[in-house]
Amino acid sequence: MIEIKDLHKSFGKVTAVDGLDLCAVDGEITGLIGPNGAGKTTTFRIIAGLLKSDRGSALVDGKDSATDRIEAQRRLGVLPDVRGLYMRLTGREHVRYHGRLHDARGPELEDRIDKLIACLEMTDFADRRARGYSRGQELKVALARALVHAPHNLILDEPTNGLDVVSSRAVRALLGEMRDDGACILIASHNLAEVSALCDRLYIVAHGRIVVSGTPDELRAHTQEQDFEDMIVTALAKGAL
Amino acid sequence: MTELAIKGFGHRLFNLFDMTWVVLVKELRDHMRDHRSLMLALIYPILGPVLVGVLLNVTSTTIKGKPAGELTLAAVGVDNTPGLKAYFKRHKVTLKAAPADPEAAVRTGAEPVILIVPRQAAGTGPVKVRLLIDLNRMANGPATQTVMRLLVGFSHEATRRLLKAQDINLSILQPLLVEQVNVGRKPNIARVFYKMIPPLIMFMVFLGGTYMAIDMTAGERERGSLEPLLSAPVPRWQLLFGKAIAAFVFTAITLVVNYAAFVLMLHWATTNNPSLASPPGALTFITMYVITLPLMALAVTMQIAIAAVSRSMKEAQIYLGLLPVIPALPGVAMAFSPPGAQAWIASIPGFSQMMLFNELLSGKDVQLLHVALSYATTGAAAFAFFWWSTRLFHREKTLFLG
Repeated sequence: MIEIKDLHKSFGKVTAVDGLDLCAVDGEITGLIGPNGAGKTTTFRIIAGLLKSDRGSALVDGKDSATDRIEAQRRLGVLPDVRGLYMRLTGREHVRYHGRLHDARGPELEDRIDKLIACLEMTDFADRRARGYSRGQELKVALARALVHAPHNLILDEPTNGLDVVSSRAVRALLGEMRDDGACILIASHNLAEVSALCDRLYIVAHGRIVVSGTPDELRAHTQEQDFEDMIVTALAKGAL
Repeated sequence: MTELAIKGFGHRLFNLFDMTWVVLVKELRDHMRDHRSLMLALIYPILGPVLVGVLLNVTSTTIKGKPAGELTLAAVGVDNTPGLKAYFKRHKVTLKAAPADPEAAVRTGAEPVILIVPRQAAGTGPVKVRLLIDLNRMANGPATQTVMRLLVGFSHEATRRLLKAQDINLSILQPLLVEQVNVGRKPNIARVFYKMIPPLIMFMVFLGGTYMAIDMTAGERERGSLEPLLSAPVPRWQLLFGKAIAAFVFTAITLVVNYAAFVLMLHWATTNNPSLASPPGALTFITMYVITLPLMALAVTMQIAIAAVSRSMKEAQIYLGLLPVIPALPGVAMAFSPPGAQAWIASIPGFSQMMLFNELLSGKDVQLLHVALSYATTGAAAFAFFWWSTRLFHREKTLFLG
């Protein structure tokens, strides 16, 4: 479970997160939706233990990502918005490196890598160096890297951005399976079709704070919009008021 | 109980460096595939020794020149002084007619030296011969010196002969005889070149791991790989330690290549040239390598810290490109004007290594105290820079904003 309580973060005079509260529970996919600059990436970085909040806390399975960073990170898989691959390493070597950084070793790790490569349809390029990968291939490697230690909690920034239709469907299916296995998944996405297809609960964020939250049905009722895109736009407009 | 405690400690120690090992292996694999890192480690360290070796070889060959017995001297009017002509012949100098424009011939290098003897009536004072030389041509030095030596010799011989004819003792013309006694080593052109070795080594110490240090810090940030890396549940000092060791390994390889190249090139340059002072042996270079080890650690930690505070890879390249010059410049001054072995110099990182190198290259034994001081202070400085680097890797500005 990922709990965020009264989170504040500023960079100089710019307020990125302004009292954000959120709870992503186990066995659900939670969506964090909002316009560019709403504070999603900063929130994710605080959860991942990369930034320290000015006030408030981010807990991963009860572990504070600021004061108990290592324990929080053990329980977390992270897909950042910038995929960040090493051009001279193969896809498999990327996944193995991060598996080892998460204390995974030996045949168990190799089995897990093989399964992820098969599941994410990476077989054709997994043993090729990352230089020359397409955006979709980079994303698959980054996703496998986030999943290699079988984390109970996942934060994914644009998890299907750049993937073709078939691969997007495969990723959604994988996330669905993980949710059914009890994982807690928090995603940020601009792809509303993806959000509507995946998320059990939505948090709409603007100007660093949650403007409205609930299940898709609750939000439809709240905004009185049936179309998902209209629902989000109306929710953001209401929140702005 | 004690055994369990030792096992527990060993396990904790293993865990402490386990992640460092993971990072180290990744960085080495990554950079072994990078031609820029390999160029810095394997090609650059050869350039300095090649330069010194070739210069030494060319200079020594030039200075040595042809033996006097093989000298052919172009001359004008030498028939005017039959005695001088006979003297040259006696000293195996072949005389030939000078070209039409003697000055042009010397200036263009067609002749190393030309002797001009004026026509002068006997008994009208000393014969004023002219020697045309070009001081800018180092290769002409041996021939010029040989001719000068022979002319002075002929003059002395003629003086002695005249004085003897007058029954005058030669010693009254030389009331003072000067004997120079060199208490140092015999001066040798090769030693000037050997003095170039320490600054070149200092340069390589601060150059070997440069690209790695940039790529592992500013590079990680620029390509976005720092974020997933720091999301891993590993203490940052362990990540950084793995990176620092990887850069240290590359620097150490660079220096092995550098030292080996010096041994080979100096051997090549001095073989078949017994007039040159013997080059430092392999044992001297091995000792120098051991002395260099803590400086390599300092160079790597300085490079990582500077690259971490740089806003981009380009900025880091500029700063780290200048870094090798800082220790190399005082190194040049110390090489050509050595201050002698003193404890306070042995306590300054960079200077201490230069001092110890100079001692070794001049054939002296280094004091153990000086080596210990050098290790302690340079090691402490390396640790301080490493500690600063770990602090930098906790700064949000270092991680995201540059």
